[in-house]
Amino acid sequence: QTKATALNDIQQNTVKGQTWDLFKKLVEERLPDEVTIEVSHGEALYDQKTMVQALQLGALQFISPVVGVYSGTFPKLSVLVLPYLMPSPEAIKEVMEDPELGGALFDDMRAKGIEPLGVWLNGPRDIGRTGSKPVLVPEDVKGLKIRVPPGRNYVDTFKLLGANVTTMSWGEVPTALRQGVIDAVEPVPHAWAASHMYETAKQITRTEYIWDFYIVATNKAWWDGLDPKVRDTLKAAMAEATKWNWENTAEENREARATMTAGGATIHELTPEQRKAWVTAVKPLWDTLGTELVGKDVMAKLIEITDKYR
Amino acid sequence: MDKLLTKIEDALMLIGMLGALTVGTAQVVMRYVFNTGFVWSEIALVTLTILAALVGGSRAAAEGIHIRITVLTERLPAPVQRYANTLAMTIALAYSLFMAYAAFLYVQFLHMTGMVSVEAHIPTWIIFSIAPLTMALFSIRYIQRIPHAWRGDEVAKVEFID
Amino acid sequence: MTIAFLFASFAVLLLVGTPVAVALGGSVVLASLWSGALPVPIIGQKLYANLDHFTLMAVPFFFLAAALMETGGIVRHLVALANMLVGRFRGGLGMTAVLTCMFFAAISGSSPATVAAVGAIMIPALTKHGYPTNYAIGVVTTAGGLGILIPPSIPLILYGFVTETSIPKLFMAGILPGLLYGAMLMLMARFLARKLAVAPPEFMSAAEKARAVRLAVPALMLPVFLVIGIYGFPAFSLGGMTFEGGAIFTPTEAALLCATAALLIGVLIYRQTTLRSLVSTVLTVTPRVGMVFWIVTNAVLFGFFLAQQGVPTALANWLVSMDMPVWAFLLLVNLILIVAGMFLDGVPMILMFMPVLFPAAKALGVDPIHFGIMVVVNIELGLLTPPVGLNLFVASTISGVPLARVIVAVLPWACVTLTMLILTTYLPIISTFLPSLMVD
Ligand code: NA
Ligand code: NA
Repeated sequence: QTKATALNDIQQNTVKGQTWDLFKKLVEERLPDEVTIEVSHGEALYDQKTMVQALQLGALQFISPVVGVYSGTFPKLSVLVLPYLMPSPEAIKEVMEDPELGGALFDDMRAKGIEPLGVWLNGPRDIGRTGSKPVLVPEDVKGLKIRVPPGRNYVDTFKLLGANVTTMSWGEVPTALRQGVIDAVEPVPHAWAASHMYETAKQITRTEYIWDFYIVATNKAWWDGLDPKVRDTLKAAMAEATKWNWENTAEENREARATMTAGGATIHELTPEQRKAWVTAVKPLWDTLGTELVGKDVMAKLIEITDKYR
Repeated sequence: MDKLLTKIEDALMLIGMLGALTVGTAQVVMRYVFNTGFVWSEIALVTLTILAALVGGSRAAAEGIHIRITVLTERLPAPVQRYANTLAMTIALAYSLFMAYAAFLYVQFLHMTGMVSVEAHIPTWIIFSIAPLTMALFSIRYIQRIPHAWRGDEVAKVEFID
Repeated sequence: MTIAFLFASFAVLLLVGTPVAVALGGSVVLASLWSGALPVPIIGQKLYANLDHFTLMAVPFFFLAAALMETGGIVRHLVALANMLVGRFRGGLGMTAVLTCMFFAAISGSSPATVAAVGAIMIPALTKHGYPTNYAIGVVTTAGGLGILIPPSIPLILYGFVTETSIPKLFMAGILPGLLYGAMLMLMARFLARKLAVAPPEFMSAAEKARAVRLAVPALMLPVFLVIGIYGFPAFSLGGMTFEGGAIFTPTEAALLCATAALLIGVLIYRQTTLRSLVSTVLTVTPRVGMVFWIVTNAVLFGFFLAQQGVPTALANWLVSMDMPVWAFLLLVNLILIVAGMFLDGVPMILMFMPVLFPAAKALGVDPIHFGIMVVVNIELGLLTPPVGLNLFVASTISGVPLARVIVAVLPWACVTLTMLILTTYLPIISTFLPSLMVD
């Protein structure tokens, strides 16, 4: 009997939480005597700053954080979340399946004891602000007090656009926003809805400036030590859960937008010209930050692939 | 030795608390008055405060202000109280040593993985070193206290007078 | 089995007189080595990581602010003012202590910080005016709990976060129970003062009164500054100049600004703070902060071990499986949280129990806001119950009174907290009335 703990670092009633529950169900149906999976929802065990290390040390068997959480240990991964680089989930899929791109990044992870199992979807990041004037063009960000997650891809983007960037802890953000300590935030739709921040920052724009996703991973030593038959069953269950995850994320974010509109928020769409202005404004980062992270050649390849989906 | 240790603790507590106070206040002023700020201010503030607090914890061990439940041991006859006190201090020492070791293992692991703080761009093993180093300080403080406990001049705190 | 071993070793360590923090962490280490549940480096990781939260930083700086307020002469002038205001009433200073806690609660989001700040001021003031030490400690330790009921509140923020409940509404919901709790504590303050036959304070002449008010004005600037800082200055437009309003700092940052402002007032206005007194204040306060942080990190480690062993989830699942009416469900939730509160701090309590208890409560039709306030009152009670009660520890440290006596001193006052828990549990309207007035 193998007992494994999976950490779902957000709420259970999200698509990610339900994907973990599905994975557990599938595994325990197929390997009733061999494997039990405990899914720990929320941050009672480990938080964003500690879960990767807990996985590496074997205290956890499965994690699924956003890309940024890995970037302390694997800085190159930040390239996948450069602004406006990945236009859609399909682009993410092709990049991650490319042996020179996703494959090379995954090899880095394996070298440090982490076995990547797949990619789950989070959503496109949308900027929303308090007051009555929405953020529609890059100039609207100038002087705006905006909170972003720690990570150069986020911070450098808004610094480039002239915003007053802060990375205060997520726990402080709803209060800080309500009180006016900050003016704007930029999470994905389901996080917007769950945190109720649309009640305060009512002008939300579908900037979709980063398509955020999760990397599901396991402890490599534990995984390699499993009975091959068990491992294959786990792999198959993971593939099924992943398929379900991809099918349901768009719906989750659509529902979240509906909740926000019903709750009094206004959601603005970008015109093609406005979107173009955003891409032009942040593109310099592809050269500076992107090249610094992975080099010219890899960056060129990344742009070549993602261009197909633009 | 004791004097030097006290001086080091004093310096670290002052640097930590006043440094954190300065960084935190500056961050608010920069954000509100000058509409700018540092991304690293939060991690600097937290790190300095934890440093000050854990060094303060070591001083608290030296001064005997860590909260204990003495209801039972107070009722023991004086010579037995001595043994109980020595035992309690020895356990505290053993725990501090174990934590120093566990934290050292973690720092070693962080060093190996090469993890870097995203906000401050410095290796996280440097930040985490606060843990084993302050646990070593705790250990020294408890080593100093054990002979006192054994001799019996380690008494329960003086009652507050109404 | 591992859990039985954990609690047994905790009890033994506690009773032989090891520091509470060591008993908490030591029992985890023993249980972990015994069962092989955790890799050793993870224990080392937790030691630092448990403290690595920005919101926790409010505690040390409210400690420091309180001490600087004392060395800077701010406290002396505030107490003189309070004394002037309540001079005629028996038990008036006791009631002032409650009022001061309510006021401080509106600034701080943390209960131990409220106890530290108000306790440093009011405990000496009360004993100086003839109140028994037990009374002084009891009132401040208990009323300090208001820190997390009256907004802003760290536990309410976390609860809102974990359960996806609107934080503004939760803050609004905390106001009425906070006022009610404050009023009940004031009644208790008056009742106990009469019972103890505390003498009314001495008569003050009109000139003395005027002097007290005049001297307290700069001291009163501090709270005004903090309230503006947290809640924002009203927006205005004057001629061509417009000011957008908005707050200046978060509740956590308020602790820092409070300390800085107390320092500046002490140096520039009352001219009592010098470099030497600043240094000695920091060196007195930091070991106390160290005591609190050392307990916090070990208490969180203890809670983590319980969570890692699946205890809270199992307990909550059992409760959910019982299939009972709402009143019985709420009663059992309270019982579980009271027992958990003996050992756990508020943050781990919310993180560990809410993922299972909250959906169950919701399914039974319990209002999420009502449930949140009930959980927070439970956390307040947990701050007052041994063996691990942070308010008790802070009160013991700042007053120098042994823990056992602090526990005895708090007993009559904790009855008010228990009454408050019953009221918030079975009268949801207290919590839901104000938020229901809010426009969506
Ligand atoms: Na409060
Ligand atoms: Na307690």
